[in-house]
Amino acid sequence: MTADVLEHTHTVQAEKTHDAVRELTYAQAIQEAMAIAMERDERVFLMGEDIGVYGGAFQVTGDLYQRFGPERVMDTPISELGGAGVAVGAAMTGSRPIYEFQFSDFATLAMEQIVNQAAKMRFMLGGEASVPLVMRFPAGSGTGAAAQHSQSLEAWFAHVPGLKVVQPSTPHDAKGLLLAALEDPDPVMIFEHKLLYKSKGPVPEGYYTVPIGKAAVRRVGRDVTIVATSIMAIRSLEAAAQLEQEGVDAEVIDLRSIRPIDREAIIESIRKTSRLICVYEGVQQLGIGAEIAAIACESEAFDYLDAPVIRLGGADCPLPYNPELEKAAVPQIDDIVAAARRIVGRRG
Amino acid sequence: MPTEVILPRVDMDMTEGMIAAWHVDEGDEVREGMLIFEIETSKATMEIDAPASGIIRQINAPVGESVPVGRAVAWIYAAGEALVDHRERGGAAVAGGASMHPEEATQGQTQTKTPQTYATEAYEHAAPSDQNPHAADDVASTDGPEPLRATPAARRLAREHELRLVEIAGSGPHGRVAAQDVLRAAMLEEIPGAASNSAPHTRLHSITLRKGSGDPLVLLHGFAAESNSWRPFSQAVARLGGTEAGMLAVDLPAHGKSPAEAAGSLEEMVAALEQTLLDAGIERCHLVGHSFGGALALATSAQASRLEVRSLALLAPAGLGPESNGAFLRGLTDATRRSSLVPWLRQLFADPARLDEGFVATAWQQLESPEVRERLAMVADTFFPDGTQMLDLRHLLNDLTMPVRVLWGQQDRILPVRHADGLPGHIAVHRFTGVGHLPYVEAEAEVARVVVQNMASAMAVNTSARVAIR
Repeated sequence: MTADVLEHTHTVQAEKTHDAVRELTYAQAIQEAMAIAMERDERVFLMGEDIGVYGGAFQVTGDLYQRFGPERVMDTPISELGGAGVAVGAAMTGSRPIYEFQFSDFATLAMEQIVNQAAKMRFMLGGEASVPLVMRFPAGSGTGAAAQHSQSLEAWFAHVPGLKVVQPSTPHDAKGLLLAALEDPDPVMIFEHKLLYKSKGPVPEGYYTVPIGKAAVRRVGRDVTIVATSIMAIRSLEAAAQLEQEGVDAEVIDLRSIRPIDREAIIESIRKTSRLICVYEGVQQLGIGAEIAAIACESEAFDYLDAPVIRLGGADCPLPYNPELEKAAVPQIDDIVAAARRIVGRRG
Repeated sequence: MPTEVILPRVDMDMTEGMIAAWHVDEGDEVREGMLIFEIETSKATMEIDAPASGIIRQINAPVGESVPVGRAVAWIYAAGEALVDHRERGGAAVAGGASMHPEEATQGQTQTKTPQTYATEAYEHAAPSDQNPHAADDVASTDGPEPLRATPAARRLAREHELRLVEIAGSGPHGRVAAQDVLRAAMLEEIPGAASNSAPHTRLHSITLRKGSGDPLVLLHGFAAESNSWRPFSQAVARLGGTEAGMLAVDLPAHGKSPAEAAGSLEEMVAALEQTLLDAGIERCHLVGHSFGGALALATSAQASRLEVRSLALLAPAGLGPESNGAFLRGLTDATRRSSLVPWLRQLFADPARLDEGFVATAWQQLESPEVRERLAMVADTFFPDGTQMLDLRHLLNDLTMPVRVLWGQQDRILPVRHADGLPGHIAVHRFTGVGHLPYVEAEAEVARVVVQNMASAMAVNTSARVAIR
């Protein structure tokens, strides 16, 4: 985590109000974050395909069009490259756009704007301009949307200096990370898992942020560290509950942010448990798991490793349409349980 | 056949040494015992003598080079002997002879070897696929670097405990040494000079509970207890009268004030107990063993060759069946605070109200230390892995000729009382109603009486209670 981000998030946290907490869905929490942001700051506006009258492909923007009008909730043509170009320009010239890609897979159409423009501008212009752009990406598999609408491409973007990449797994974090992203001077990409939109959880009313670059320890344990992202953090927690019955005490770290990545949280946990499993939905090879494993091997955590690191990632194939094959192509709870048994030296 | 000059191991934890100086040149004639080179280790500089007489050839480790222990650094040839190309796996290639001047061959070899080639060769020599018998000629001995498998955590712990990984048996896949293997080895090596394979001279700590005459009564406590736990019982025996025997309580290996080094197997424990008693001038005794100490008492009665056990009383002994309360064992060794220990201690009693502050305080005094808990957890892991009793000692009862009594509480929640079923007919079994795992606490007076009667019967029979098995 860079120092300025730390400082920034601390300032924001100080403003945090202690409002009532309700149960909201992940989608509702994101919508609420966008509504609060637009109420607080007139520079904030939304762009995306079918986000206006239709309410968004996953109904995340919902009735914001009716509440804020067509000038602040703008439907864009089916051209991600064009839309992203508009968003980058708007961000550079003083606005705070939130651009929804209908599926994260379509980020491929906007690579030029994201990678070559948004990520580079602040550096190439010597800090005289920045691109405070927030991009939202419905991502992940499990909806039967097949190979072109089910990918987890976050690692691609985490490889690009100048971008920030977050993956909230709870309604609380979905709202807090979106508001933190709006405060950030740099482009932030939020990968929202499609299967999580309907999941519920406690969400405080009012304004708060979740710091970018800070992982959350979801469960404290001593036998094995499971570092997971997005929905895999949820599955890891369920796996940990099963493992507890077998006497295996797993620590679950929800990374929340993959760029910047919370090295300290990973290192500290491995020093305690001596074992590491990385769980993520993106294709396993050359993915986030490799980075996490490298942190373990390159840091003082190395001397504490007592078993080979295990990566559980997506299968090395385009995601299948067949529901059974689709499930088999990404880590499930049973896979995590089996990996944990293996790493602590149990059979069965 | 040339003699190889190897880089020797000059201290225990040395894995490589640096050539500090050569005192001979290639072509020099040397006599066996003559100083030929010096090596520098992390600790000292050592002078190395020629292992044979002859002519020095093929020096392949220049000054300043670090060389793994056991590698050949030069060869000593007989006068006129043709040079052997040690790098050639075929073994038959001879660099000398008419076609090439020996000095040239030597020179070529020394100068083309880079550190990388040393490393590669060393690895190749150790590779299991290497079936060429001449490989053994290249690398002096089995001390060469082997593909040791050990986790980073195991390596760190080995450094911290100053242990050599190659001497530790790995429990992981392909013999991989893991952290727990090193911790186990560290436990066994705790006392310097007491390696497990040397003659056991482990001295166990003991306390004299009463001075007396005749063959003493030796008391062996259970898992995670220590010798002081016998104090109230010894007073009950004293009050009862009928025996003037001295009483002695011994701390089991890895318990109380006794060292951990003999805790790796029951055989070592028997040897340590026997030696401890012999050292104290005790050649004959009466034994009382509780729980884990019962297993030791039984094995000692059957297997000790120099110690005569005159009578044996086993209180809820281990070793008579596979079941045990695994949760209890884990609870004891996992408890990091007094409050989490208490519920487990309660399991010991049929009447939990019997668990008083004094008992808790004594137990906590021992278990408070994380080191003690770790030691005990390893003992538990050795003898009771997954709550399963690995010791099967039932057969030992058959051949015992001294009076033997087995005493058990009907409400024992640690080791089931049914393990007292089906014992050989000459063994007396006493079952106490309303008593848990600690008959000598919950039925103190009754147990004391049975023990004293058992001792008395041994004297009456006046038989040599030696056991003839093994």
